[in-house]
Amino acid sequence: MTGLLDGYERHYSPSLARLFELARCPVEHTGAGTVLEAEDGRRYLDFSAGYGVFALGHLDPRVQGVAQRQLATFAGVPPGVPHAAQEALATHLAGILPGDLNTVLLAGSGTEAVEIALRAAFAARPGRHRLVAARHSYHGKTLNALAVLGQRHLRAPFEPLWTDATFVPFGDVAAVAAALDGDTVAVLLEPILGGGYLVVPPGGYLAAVADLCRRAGCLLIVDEVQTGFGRTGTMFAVEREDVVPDLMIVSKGLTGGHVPMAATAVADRVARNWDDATWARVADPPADVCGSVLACVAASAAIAAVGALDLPARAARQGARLLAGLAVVADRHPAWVRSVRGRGLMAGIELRSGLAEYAIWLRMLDRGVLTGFSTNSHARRPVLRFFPPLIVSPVEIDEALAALDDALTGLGRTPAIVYDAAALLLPWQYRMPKPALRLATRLLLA
Amino acid sequence: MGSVVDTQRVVRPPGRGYPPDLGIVTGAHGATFDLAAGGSAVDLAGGGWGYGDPLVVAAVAAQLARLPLSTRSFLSRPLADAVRRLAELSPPGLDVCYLCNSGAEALDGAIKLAKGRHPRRRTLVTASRLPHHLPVTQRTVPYGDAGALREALTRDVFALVVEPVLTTAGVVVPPPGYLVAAREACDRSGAVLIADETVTGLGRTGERFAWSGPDVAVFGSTLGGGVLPLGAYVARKRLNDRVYRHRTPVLHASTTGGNPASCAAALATLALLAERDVTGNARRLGAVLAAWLDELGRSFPGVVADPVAAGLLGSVTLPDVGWAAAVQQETLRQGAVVLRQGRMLAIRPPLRIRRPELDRGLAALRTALAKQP
Repeated sequence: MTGLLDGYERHYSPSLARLFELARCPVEHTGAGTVLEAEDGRRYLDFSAGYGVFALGHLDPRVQGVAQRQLATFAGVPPGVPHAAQEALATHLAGILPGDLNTVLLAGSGTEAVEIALRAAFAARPGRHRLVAARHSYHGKTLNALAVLGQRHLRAPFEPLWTDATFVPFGDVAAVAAALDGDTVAVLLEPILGGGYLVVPPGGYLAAVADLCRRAGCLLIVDEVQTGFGRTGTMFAVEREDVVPDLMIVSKGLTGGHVPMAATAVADRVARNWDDATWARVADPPADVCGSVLACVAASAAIAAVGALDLPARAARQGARLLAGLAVVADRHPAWVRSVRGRGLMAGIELRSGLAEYAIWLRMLDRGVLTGFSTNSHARRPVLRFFPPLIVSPVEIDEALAALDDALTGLGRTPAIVYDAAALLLPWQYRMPKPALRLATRLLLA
Repeated sequence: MGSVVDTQRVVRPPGRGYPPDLGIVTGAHGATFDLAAGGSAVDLAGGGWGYGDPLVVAAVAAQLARLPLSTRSFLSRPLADAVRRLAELSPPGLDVCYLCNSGAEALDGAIKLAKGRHPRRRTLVTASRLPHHLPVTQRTVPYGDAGALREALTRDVFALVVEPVLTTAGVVVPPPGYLVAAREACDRSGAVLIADETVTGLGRTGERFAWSGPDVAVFGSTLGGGVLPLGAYVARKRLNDRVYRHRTPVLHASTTGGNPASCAAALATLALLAERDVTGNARRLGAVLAAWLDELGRSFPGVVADPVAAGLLGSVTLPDVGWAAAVQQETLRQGAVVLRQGRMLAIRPPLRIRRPELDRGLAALRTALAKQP
């Protein structure tokens, strides 16, 4: 453990080493289904699912079998060398994507797919310069994606950037309307805002924004990295409002948690008149993952499994149970939980402060449940996520809810205001001396 | 939905200089592709590590069966081991690693780190190479020209990106003193010096790193051992600390970057790099490659010009683009894949290529040249 932390501190990320040391984080080792196992043998019910990548649970046997067989025979070629698995996957994906989202470009990570989508948008609307995105949104952290990242504290250290973006409050149609003009290239949105808050927009929001975009002649890019492949109760969240975006990004869950991969889907209506040079500007150089036969066959197998297990319908059913259960627990602890948010198995509880979130996350861990920490140290009232694999059972949901109730009851022994005051220090935690932090952690969180 | 199969269109990436009629590759082992069209072809184009390396495959298979991707909520042993090993093998002073899913993403991360060091500066200088459509104000200077480089590094420049050996327009070994001049110019202006070693790094030039002088070195697919997509940058600790140490760890991070399976691939590859004589192999076969290319120059005067080799990196220049395309095409028919960059043909075999494969591939190129009218 010390060796690991030392490796993180010296060769990876000193601030992450600090966070993990204070939280006495376990070392991940293996998993099966909804259960994650640490190196010390302790087992955790995984209600974080790696922020969504383990949508099929850990080590889904179908995907695992296909991936291992492929790895043993033919793992990959350099990007740009054609192989059959890539085409098979693109056909698979286009088959489940809504409407005329028929062209698929593969990327190695969600942020790389966002970069491709932005290049496609700029190519489709030459002469326009400005992007519109939501405040508090999250679309990755590479240079171009950074320009549309709605969490200011993650952008500011690198500003000024080169791409012009306007940020609007999420869920507010009028704000989008006011932000659009003849210079707008595209509006980029998550169907449900992630990034530490988890905000479900009012009904009809996406459809109204799609309509505004059409009239302003700009594109609508929807980032389904978190919501795709059944998480919110439909295969893609946009289906709920019958919206077919011009560009769509998917990633988490795509390979059933086996290999990193993302994809950008381009609607036929956007690319109808593109020549080879335009495609080259958008798709070249091909992402390294394009050459990964292993990633492509894993993704095809995972998509088949999502369909075979009817995971969108399961997420809708179990999501209703989870959200109802969270509401009951929230009612019992009004001092701590401000609201219950979510749709399907993308659920969370809004807490009174960042420190309260941290404390509950740790207490849940103590009780054998891993939840999704918002990782947003600047959120005033962050949302702790309940993001189980989509194969989660009703019994497991009840177990997690009981652990939450128990954690909140334990927390209630300290006056909430103490946490509020201490939470003001959160943005400075990486500058404070470690002994002070250790003491605070022991007093408030242990 | 789903029924409109006939409108589905797959954009196959435009191949980055591969022969247009390569067709589908159905398998790869050592340094050889199996072709759907029948037969096989020696890969002299893909760079990287090599295909189906049993030790890398075994390491990835074991991790894949245990935990392929990370929860990102717990500590990861493969990640800690991989960054420690990569830092140990990197040039002295380069200590902090960032792992991601492609060389392009790693280069992007290195440029972001430099921007974080000098947020108010706006311009990036590159020596003859535009990094993959970055949304960055770029100033390009001719490769190898130290004077131009010094002149370009004004106070508005936050970083210089340079390949230790140019690989994007044939192979160009810089004149002596060029990289030292780059270092001095960056020291003077404060710009962060980024070495793009995505092609040259991890043994290809006969050294583990083509250059030990940068502030950040960027590595690409070689690190994944031909099994998984992988990129990484390694930076000076002081530089990384200044930008990231006292800020939230999510300021630069990704859900899948440095995932356990990729780290297992990197660890196996780095172990082979340290224990087997991979750089020695690149040097020895590099000499073979140089001899072949020189011979081509002598045998086909007026056709093959400027043979250059630097370790397992080589190029020749043909009279025009048409010539280069025709020779590339015929080389494929003869059983080898070379990369075309304008009127140049680049030779970039996988690092683990063996002598017989290399000779077979280069013989195919020679036959193709001999067959031109």
